[in-house]
This record gives sequence, structure tokens and C-alpha cells, in this order.
Amino acid sequence: MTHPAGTDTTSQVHSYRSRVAEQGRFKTVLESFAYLPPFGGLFKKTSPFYAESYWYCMGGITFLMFVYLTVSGVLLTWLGPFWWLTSPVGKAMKGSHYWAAQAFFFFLVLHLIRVWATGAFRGRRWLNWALGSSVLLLGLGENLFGLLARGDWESQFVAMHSDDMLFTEPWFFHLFSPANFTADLVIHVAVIPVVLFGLIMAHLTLVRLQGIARPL
Amino acid sequence: MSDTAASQPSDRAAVEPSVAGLVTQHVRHAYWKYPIIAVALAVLLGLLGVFAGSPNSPRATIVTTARQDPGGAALAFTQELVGTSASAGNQKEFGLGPPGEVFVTGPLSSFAPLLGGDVAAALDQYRAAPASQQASWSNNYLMALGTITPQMEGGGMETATSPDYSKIGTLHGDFGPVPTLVKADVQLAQSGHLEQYLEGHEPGHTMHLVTIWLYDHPKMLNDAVANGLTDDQWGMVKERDYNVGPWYLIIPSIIHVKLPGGVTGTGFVLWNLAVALFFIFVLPLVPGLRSLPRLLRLYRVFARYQARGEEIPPDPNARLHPVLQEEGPA
Repeated sequence: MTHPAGTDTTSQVHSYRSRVAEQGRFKTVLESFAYLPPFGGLFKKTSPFYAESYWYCMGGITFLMFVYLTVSGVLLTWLGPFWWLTSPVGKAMKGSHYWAAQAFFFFLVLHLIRVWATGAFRGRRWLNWALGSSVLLLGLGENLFGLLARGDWESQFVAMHSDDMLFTEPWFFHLFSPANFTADLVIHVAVIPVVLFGLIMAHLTLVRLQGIARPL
Repeated sequence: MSDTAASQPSDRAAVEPSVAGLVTQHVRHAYWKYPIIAVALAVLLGLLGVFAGSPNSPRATIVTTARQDPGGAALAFTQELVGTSASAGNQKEFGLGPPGEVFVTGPLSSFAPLLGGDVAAALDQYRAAPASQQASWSNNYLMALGTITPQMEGGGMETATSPDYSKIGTLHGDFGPVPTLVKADVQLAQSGHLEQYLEGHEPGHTMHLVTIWLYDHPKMLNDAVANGLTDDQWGMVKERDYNVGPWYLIIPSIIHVKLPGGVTGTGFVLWNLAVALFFIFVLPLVPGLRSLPRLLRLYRVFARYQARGEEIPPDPNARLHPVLQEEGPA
């Protein structure tokens, strides 16, 4: 299948048939999420060849881990602490959530290294660097509240140890105690994730608008 | 695969590397890899969840703690009356109040009808006494508990030893009603009534007061020391009975353990803020520092280069009508 240069519309260039002709049916079906509604319009379809290395996928995989954490987190919250602390299935789900958090930070750090090493923080992209850094820092806070919301011995000890050190400080206005499991759980499953989601969406929007930074 | 490569002007860019050696021509992004990566990672995480699990040490309860170590419970209640317990630091927290009242006189007052006349009378005597008298009785009793506490030999710097509860009846001195109150509260703790009272005291705050009391008891900190979880043991990056801890907290952990003032709340927050400001402002904005990646030419590690004999796919955007191309690549 040939196409004369400079004659096609965007929909023709990215049509199913056109992509099948380019790369085969298997890859075309797999990439459907980036071409079909509801999310297809959000994805830029091409990238520079130099950015087609796995290093440039680390941000995307970090987002995948955020999605996995959200889905597993919703399941855990739905069935509650008694389930995840005692049932074999609940324990496995909690274990999976724990490892997804490990993976989230692992890929996020790799992404951070790639962005810094390729100078993708320069000029107007600094704002997105700041947003990404905020995601990392808030993610660490989310991790602390996840630890407090586990409901096991470690939660109890860390609650009191961090309370002793941190939250008795007057500039926290004595309004919050990490020993309060109810508050810990709500902060972990609702308050911080909503803010994190907003920051991540803003980060992705800027990536979409500014494109991939050419290395230094 | 495509048969258009030879006919596309942009393809020439593919074989004409830029000055930096980078191939800047656009190609269709390999989105097809993401579902495979997502499924592979989901399977891996599922397997890790099943076979590696996650940290899960059973939580402490007041009942088990007070039964295992009643001397520690007696020490905690006495310190709460004196005002030297760890919970004294929480006193200003919203809704908490003086620990002596929350953990000792409050529960005893609630259960007094069940505990018998001695406790009710002791409680009346204690409450009727002036604050200085209450403090004197409690302090005297705390000192006396020290005389039946085994001396530590080479214990950790943060560990505390509990009084020998079997000898508590041998203590004599000007204690007023304090021994009666303390022993009755130990009884409440061992029977589970104290835990019920504390949970019922503020039902919207699950485990709040229970956990605060458990930290007054020496056992929790002693268990933490035994498991290497305190500050001087790099506890922030460890989990109890589990090898993989939160390694990503290494920077806050270094701040907490090594840097001056990092062990205090204010110092810890200020150091963390300094690190955050360094990442957000200094690293990307300060001349010289911001040029480090360029000077070291680090991009070479991360960019994809054309392999020998590799054919680079054509830029799909080259097929677009010129008007559409002016709008930028899709």
C-alpha cells in the first residue's frame, strides 16, 4: 500500500488500515487505546526516533503503576482492614499493592534520572519538572499514610514514633494525630490521591503540549 | 511492513544523523508495547503479592500487652498520673486532654461500680486532693516502682525496663490512693475493658487512644529496638519481619539519622524542605549545575540510536497534506 506524500488527512494517516499496512495487525490492535475513543485523542501519535528507547517509557510505566495502585487500592478499601489483614486473598491483594508502590517509586526514579540527564527540565519545561518533583514528594507522603493505614503493628509504632517527633510540633496546630486510624485511612485513600491525580494530569497535559524535549 | 520508506523526503533525515548523532525524525510511537508491559507487570505484581506478600505483623492490643507485661502497664499508668508518659506530648492534641484523666481516672470512674468500693473510694480521695498532693503521691509511687525494676545490662539506648509486677505488693510509702488506682487500671487493661472504654470514648477515631496508650507502655519501643526499627537503627527504611522496606525514603532517613537537628520535628521538616527546594529550583535553574547533563553528555546513555543496518520507519506525518503538516505532527 503506497501513499503519495502530502495528500492524506490525519485520520487517513492514522486509520486502522493504514496502521495495519505499516506494522501489522497485532501491533495495531494492541495500540488501539491510543487511537480510539475515549482516550485516543489524548495521545500524540509520533515521537522522535531517539525517544523510542525504553528509558523514555519510564514515566508512562510510572503512570501505569499509579493506575494499578488505584485499582488495587479501591478493592482493598472496599473490603476493609479485617479482610486485608486476615484473609489469604486480602493479604495477597495487600502484598500486590505494596509491590506496586515499590514499582511506582522505582520507575519514577528512573524517569527522574532520564529527564535530568537529557536536560528535559530546561526553559518552559521547568514548570513540568516542578510538577513531577511535587508528584514524587507527595508520593512519599502518600506512602507514609499508606503505612499508617495498614492497621498492623508497624502502623501503630510508626504512628506514635512520627507523632512523637513531628505532629506534636505546634505549627501542626495539634489538629491531627497519626494514631487516629480513621484519619490516616481517609487521607491515604481519598485526600492525597485526588491531589496526586491532579498533579499527574497537569504533568501529562504539559508533556502533550510541549512535546518531547530534544536532548542537550 | 511499510513500502513507503524510499519515497518519503523525511526518510532521508533518518540516515542523516543530526550533529549530536541523534535521529530526530518522527516515527510512529510504539504504543503497542504498553499493553504488553502493563499485563506483564500486573502478572508480576500479582505473583509477588501471592508469593512474596507484604509486611504484616499482628497489631498490639492492650489486653495482650498488659497480660504479657503487667509491670510495664503499672509503670505507664503511674507515668500518666505524674505527667511524664509519652502521651504527655500528645496532651495538646485536639480532644485528648491530660493522660492521667484519659487513661486512669476516666476509665476507673466509668467502671467503678463494677470494680468495688475500694476503687470508688480511692478515686474520690484522689480527686478530692489538691494537685500538689496528687503529684506527690504519684511521684513517690513512680520512685518506688524504680526500686523493683531490674537494672538493664547493655540494653539499647532507647529501651526501658518494666517493674517486676509480682513485687508490687511489697512497696510501702506515702502513695495515697495511687497504688489502688494503678492496680485497678492494670486489671481493666488485662480484662479488655480499658480497650473497649478507649475505643468507645471517641468512636470516630479508630484505635487513636489505644495506640497512644500502647506507646506509653515500654513494650512497643522495646519491640521496635529488638527489630531494629528506631532512629539509630535506620528504622525509616525498614519493615518489621520483612526484608524489603521503603528504600525510597533513604533521603529523609539520612536527614533523620545523620544531619544536625534532623531527629526533631522542625529540623526534619526544614531539611526535607531544603532537599525539595534543591530538586525543584537549584538543580534545574542554577547556572553550571543545570549544565551538568550537557557537559557530561549524559543523553548518550538514554537516547536510541540507529543500529547498524537498521531501517528507520517513515514519518507518518510526511503523508499529511502540507496544511496539516504546518499544524505540527499529530
